[in-house]
Amino acid sequence: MTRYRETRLKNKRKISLPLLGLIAAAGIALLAIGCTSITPSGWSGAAISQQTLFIGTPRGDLLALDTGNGNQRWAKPLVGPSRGGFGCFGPGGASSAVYGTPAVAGNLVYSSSYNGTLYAFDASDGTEKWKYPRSGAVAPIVSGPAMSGDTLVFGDSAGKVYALGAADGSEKWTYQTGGKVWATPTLDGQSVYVPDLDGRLYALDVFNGSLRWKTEKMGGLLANATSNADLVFIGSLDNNFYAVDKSTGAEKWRFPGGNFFWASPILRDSTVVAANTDGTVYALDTTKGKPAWSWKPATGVSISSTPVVTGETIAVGGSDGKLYLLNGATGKPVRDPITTSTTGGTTIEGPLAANGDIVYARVSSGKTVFVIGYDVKTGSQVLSKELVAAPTPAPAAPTSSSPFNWQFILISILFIVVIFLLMSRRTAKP
Amino acid sequence: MPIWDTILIRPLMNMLVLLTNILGGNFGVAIVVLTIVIRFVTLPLTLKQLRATLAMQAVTPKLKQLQKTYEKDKRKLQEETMKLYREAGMNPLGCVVPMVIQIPVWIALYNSIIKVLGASPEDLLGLSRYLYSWSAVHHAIPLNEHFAWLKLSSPDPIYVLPILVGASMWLQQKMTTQAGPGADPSQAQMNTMMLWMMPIMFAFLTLQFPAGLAIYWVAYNILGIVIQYFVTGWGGLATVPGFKQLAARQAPPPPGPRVIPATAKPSPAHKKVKRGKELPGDKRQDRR
Repeated sequence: MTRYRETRLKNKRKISLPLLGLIAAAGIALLAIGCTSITPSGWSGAAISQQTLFIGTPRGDLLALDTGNGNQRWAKPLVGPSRGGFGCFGPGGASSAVYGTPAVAGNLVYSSSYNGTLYAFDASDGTEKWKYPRSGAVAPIVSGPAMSGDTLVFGDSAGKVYALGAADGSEKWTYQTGGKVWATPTLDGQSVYVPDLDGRLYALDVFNGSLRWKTEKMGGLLANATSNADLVFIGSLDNNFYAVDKSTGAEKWRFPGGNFFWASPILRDSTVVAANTDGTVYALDTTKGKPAWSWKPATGVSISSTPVVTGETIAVGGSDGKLYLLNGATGKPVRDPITTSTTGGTTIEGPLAANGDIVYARVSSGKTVFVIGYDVKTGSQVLSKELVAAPTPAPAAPTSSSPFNWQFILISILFIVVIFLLMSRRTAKP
Repeated sequence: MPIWDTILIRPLMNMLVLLTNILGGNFGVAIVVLTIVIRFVTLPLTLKQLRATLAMQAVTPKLKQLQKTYEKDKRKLQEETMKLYREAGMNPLGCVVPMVIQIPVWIALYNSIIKVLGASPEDLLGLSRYLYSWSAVHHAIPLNEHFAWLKLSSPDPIYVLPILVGASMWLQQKMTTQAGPGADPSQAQMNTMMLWMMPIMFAFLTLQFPAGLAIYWVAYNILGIVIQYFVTGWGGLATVPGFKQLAARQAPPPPGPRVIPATAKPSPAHKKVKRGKELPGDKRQDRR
């Protein structure tokens, strides 16, 4: 019996450790693959007011930069409520990534955050004026805030649309849609147009939030809508670009693209400019939806960044990190594309912003994100600033920025070792 | 796009989205259906692997005996081992090769589910690079992430899926285990570790993984149990109280190994292997 036991223990030592290592490695590999998709880092565009540029950082800060030299005027960490959980989904604070472009009105700047909070700061010094909700959080916010008079409107990932008083953040009304609201609502007179990922465009009364109309189901809508006197224009994930009647929501025309219409459309004279993720930029006649011109950069370049009009030029940001400048009337490039980085692997993400002849782009290069300003007349770079708050104030709650946290892996390994030891004892019994 | 993405991830992602569209926008059911389809397509490989494993288990006692007999003559041991394999009509790599071929497919499916879930805005934008330009595919985006009580991009809030993943994995592992007095102790040790550690680890991972992945694991395990049953019967599960009576009630046919040669040409020794008859040295026969 003793010999049998010794043999078993000997065999166990030979086989168990490599097997244990293999199982632990498999577990860690599964964790690594399984958690990688859950890393929201945001793609906030820039809002410009009084020589100050407001933009969100991937870590979840709101930065106020001097448009002239890029110097930081102030930075505020958007700290969300802490949460439980472990592994991919915690612990610590929810991601505070900023997707929506901040809005500026009077002396306040408003920014939404993926942590489910909307903040209002004093534009001059970054003092927090109010936040919504005052405690806890709503569902993650991808939508940016839209302003009209004293009303501020945004949507959340649970499909709820909120209208708040711009001065104090008091709730005016809410409206529940059928899907997720990731687009920034568009305010136009007495209506607010809300694109929803359930494929419908909702027109709500800006004063009381009542439904005026909603469209038939299209593909998922996450680009912002834009409107002229008669029509509302919206791009869809079903590859179509739609124009709907402003008073009834009935479809007037649609234009098929090659892939998602992810970027928001912009109006220029009698055309609406829409960029597709297959890289094509279309200028469509607003009444019939016929292309006045279209332009496509080199193969393999995708466009998800919303273009911007500056004078006669339309600036378009590509996934190759280049800024393309097109003639607004013909679609022909007016100059060679501006390379925002020579390091390669860069991409322009989030909407472009313009201030006179200067176009600002959010340029991502791996985990490093910059805001870069170019003079479109001369092609010269006037600003380059990495989107990192400095000095970094310590946030009250930690934000989860890595794909998965190492605490969890250590706990997992410890757990496996304990199980292994228990098993060894059990097996060692004759 | 890397070749791995082009030949495996992209087709699987598009199949998932297409199935979701066909199944009325139900992504949970699409995961189950695609798992069944892939299990069916890879069934010949799975059967080959299971049968080769069984054959290997059957000759293990004989192999042990040879190792003991020719302990000091490695060359002779090698010759006799190969002879034994030849007589049993099996290839020693027969259970490894089919498994190695299947692994990339299952990793790709796992990866595809994560990418298609599109939980964060970045994931959804990333989808545009992977989807074919079929309108049926694009119309299904974004996918409905609600399935039963679950939000497929978040962990199961009531912990049913971790239990199902652990239990189904344990059942499958138990069916492959054939421990007994004649069993190789090191093999028994490994089996015991696999029997408990793998289900516990996967249940633990499921606690914090998106529910969509957990559904895939549960479907994968249940299909594995069904396939395993038709090849090996209840296996080690027949020793578990409750299953003991069930296994006994089902005889005949006895739930013994239905060994089919892993190689094309059956050897004379292998011709003896029919339902109810076993290879020499089979543990079950020894026990009887």
